[in-house]
Amino acid sequence: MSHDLLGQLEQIEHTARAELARLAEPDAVQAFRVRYLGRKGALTGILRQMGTLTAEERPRVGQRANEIKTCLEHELSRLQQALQRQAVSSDLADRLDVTLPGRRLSRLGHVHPITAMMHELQTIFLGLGFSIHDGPNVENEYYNFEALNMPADHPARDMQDTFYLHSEGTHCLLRTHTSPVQIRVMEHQKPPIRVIVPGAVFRRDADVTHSPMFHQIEGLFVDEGINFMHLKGVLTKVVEEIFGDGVCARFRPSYFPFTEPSAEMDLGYTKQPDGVRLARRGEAVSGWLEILGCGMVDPAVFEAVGYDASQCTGFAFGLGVERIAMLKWGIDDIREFFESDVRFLEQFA
Amino acid sequence: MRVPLRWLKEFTDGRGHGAEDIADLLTMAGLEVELCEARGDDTILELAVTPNRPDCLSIYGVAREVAALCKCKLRALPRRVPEGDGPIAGRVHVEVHDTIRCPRYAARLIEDVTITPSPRSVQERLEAIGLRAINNVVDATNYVMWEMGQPLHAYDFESLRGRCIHVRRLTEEQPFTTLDGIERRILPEDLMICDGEGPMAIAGVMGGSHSQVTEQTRSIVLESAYFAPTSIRRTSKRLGMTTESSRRFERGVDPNRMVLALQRVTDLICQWSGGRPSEDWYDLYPTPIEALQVDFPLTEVARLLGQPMAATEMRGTLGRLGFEIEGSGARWSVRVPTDRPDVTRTVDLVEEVARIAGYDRIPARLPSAALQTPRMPKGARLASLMRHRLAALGFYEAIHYAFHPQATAEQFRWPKATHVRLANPLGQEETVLRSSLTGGLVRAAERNFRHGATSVRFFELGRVFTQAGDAVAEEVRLAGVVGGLRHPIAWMTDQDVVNFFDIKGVVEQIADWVGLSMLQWNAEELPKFLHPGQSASVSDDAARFGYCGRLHPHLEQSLGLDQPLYAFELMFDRLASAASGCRPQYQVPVRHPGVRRDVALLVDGSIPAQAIVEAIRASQNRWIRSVELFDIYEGERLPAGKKSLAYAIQYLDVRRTLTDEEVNVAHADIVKGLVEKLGVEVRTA
Repeated sequence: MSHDLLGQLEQIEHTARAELARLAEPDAVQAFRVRYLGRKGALTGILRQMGTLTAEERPRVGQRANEIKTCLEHELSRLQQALQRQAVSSDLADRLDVTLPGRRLSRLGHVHPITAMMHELQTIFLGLGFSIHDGPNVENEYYNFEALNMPADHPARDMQDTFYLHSEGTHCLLRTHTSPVQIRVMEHQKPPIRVIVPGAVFRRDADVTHSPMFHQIEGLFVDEGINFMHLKGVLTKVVEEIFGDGVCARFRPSYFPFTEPSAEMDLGYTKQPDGVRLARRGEAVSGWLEILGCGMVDPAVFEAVGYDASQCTGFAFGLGVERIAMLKWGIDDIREFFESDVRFLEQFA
Repeated sequence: MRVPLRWLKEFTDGRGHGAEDIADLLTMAGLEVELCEARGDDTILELAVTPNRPDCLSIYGVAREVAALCKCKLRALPRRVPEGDGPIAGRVHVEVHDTIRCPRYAARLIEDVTITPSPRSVQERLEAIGLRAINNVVDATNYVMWEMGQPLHAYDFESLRGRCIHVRRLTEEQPFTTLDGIERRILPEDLMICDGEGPMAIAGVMGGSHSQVTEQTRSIVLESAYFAPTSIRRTSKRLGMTTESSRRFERGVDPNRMVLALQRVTDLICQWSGGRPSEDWYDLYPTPIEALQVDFPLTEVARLLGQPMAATEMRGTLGRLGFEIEGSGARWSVRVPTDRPDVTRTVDLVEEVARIAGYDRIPARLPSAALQTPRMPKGARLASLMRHRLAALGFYEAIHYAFHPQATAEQFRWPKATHVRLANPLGQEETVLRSSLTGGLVRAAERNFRHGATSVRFFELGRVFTQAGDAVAEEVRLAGVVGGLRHPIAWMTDQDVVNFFDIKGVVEQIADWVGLSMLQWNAEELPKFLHPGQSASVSDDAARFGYCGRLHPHLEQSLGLDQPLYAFELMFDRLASAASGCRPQYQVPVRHPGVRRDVALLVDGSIPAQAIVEAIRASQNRWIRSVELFDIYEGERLPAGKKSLAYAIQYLDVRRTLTDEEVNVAHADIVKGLVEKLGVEVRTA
């Protein structure tokens, strides 16, 4: 009986070795392991039949079977290592042209330069503790004019040529500035007030520097003890944040019905052979560009919202976002912003 | 307002300052000099006078500013009263019927004038300020207007029917031809200067040709009046005519300088035309306009400006600007000159002293304020997030005008009933407010294709407007378009063009970002500019919140697009409220793996894919983690009208590892359910 089993063992070893020599794939190695050494493999099959042997025969067959098993396992692991080495070296032989362009899921788009500019400005104001408010684009005459100290027939209404809407009853219009939101905020809130209002505004005007729609950031700071020094302080700070510390700014008296005293803020520029750029402090200024209108809130406005002008004071400002963006990036035609030409938009990515 | 420097210097020497210096001083005091132009041996300053400063629409007014800025003397206005013969009363009758619209009216007669060109030097001066020289009489009125700010008018005395002047309104609407030869429609609310028979001039705006001074004129009646600003403004605004005269009247001329101006112009005309004035003149001024007295507590200066100013300096400034100060100490009473209608309150006086001192004198200081956490409007954070995420998906943000030509509205077939139209559009074109963002985006896409783009991706976050009863409703939308190649041109990428599923994918992604799930897609309530078979409305379990799809082929054709374009548009408020309710809900991650089983189904072409997923979900098997469609096939190898859909279903129990056998049973159950419910067949590989 043992003779039979031993014979089978020799046979198994013989075929296994022959097969082993031909193994070249990791999958085949695994299949070989299963076939000979696995739970249902050939060697295990022999060992299962040990029960039929006598006590003397068992060690001999067992020993032989283990010898073969150890030997095959040893060979197998050597082969496996060789195959792994081979796989690595053939992997290493594979060379890519790393100068080929990489794969991109999509081209990157970008937010609009006006949005980017608005965002930059908002971040500065949020840092100074200003809240952000928003308001309707379609307004009535009360909020756009009357409450802002511009009664009907006021010549100052000519300063902002207005788009009116065809509507029954009340005169609806497209707001000519973000200032109506000042009124809306103060109607619902008592001082102290520190808000900005970013948004679109509309005027009947179109050329290289005027667009019938553009964007403003309105600001309002009302509290006891707020004065013109603070107006200058805050706006100077903001302008320095955008254009750098050395920027050359001035405040020039102006007129807005809803502020008194009123001012416009100008930045100095210098003409160089390579074009116009903002002047730095101490540099000769060749001219000034207006960037915003501002002033101390007019007592008539406080009266319209039921504030006591003898108690609180405040300043307000309205800043043209396109104007600032044009200055910052050297854009000379405001219409570019609204034409959605990718060749324009991608430059701000 | 053009100001020749030499004329200015007739009133003040400005401490010898040159044109540039004076321009700078005026600019920094609120009278912006836009241009300094050399003209012969003179320099013309071009001032942008703000509407609150009618006084600076005169050389004298500007000179007063310069004198205050340079702290030097101002020469008084000429006060010569030319003598004449015979009373005016018997020769011409003047009557004001509307003293509200015309609080003061003065007139003087000059006979025997000889109409000639005015002196050369006068003509040159008028040309320098941009007025046309006409004759010695008209030129004299313009000259004095420029010098003193008072508009004046000369009527041909012979053509005064009935030898009388009536300042009145018409009883009924009537046409009237102004000097420029244009016939205007005059309403009963307009103030007119009439003779015995009818209108001669629109008061304060423009005369008519009938009573015009011509070469034949022998005698003239001069008018110097104060018309109520509102009345003049309404008339000039309605008629769309702004004249040098109306510009001054609507801002307010000095009611107490009028007679001075009348004498000045009489004097000049007599010098230049040799006429003889009447010995007296009309001055109808039933209720004199008194100078305003304004209370000025000096503490207001520091309260508004942040720092006090020396009383002597303020006294000097106000005095030089023509204000009279009564009282001393810390509280003054200030008498405002009647040519400064802009100064009525303490705060206006503070502005006067501040602007003459210069804002540069006021230091810049950051205020101290209580800390506060800034608030943002609803949706502001989401808006910013959306913008940046869409940009990362390859979209460029666009910003378009909120209005479109009517033609666009028609092309996109926006519902007409809710259009909001502009009453006064920029051009001739009828203009409507946009009721959808898609129009602007589609046109932007089309332009970019025309400029050679191979792929376009735009989004816009903006407002749309619709008429809702009496009010205009504003709504924020998030919209986008995609067209052209799906991927950037690249060596390993297919050059496929986008299709419906690209735009739907974007909408699904946006919905994911705000936590909107269980989306429903159907063809209900699609806008008319979309392809009815390749578009869908999207709803969640609550309501419809947008749509996406291909443009209607008609529209693609009319826009000249040679490839399909896809658009989406979503109600941003819905996204914002979904996002605000969307908070992370932590669950312990399941540590053991799930089991995937695939099934390929042969399905009738009419069954929507959503029905199959719903049927799988309807099996209520709690182990189902996800159902993904990973392959779809329609073609020759299948029976006609059939499609093959292959799904991967992921099974997972959170507490334990599922055995193969359990999953097999569950999976077989689900497949069986599909076969029974939907009549599908299972395809075997």
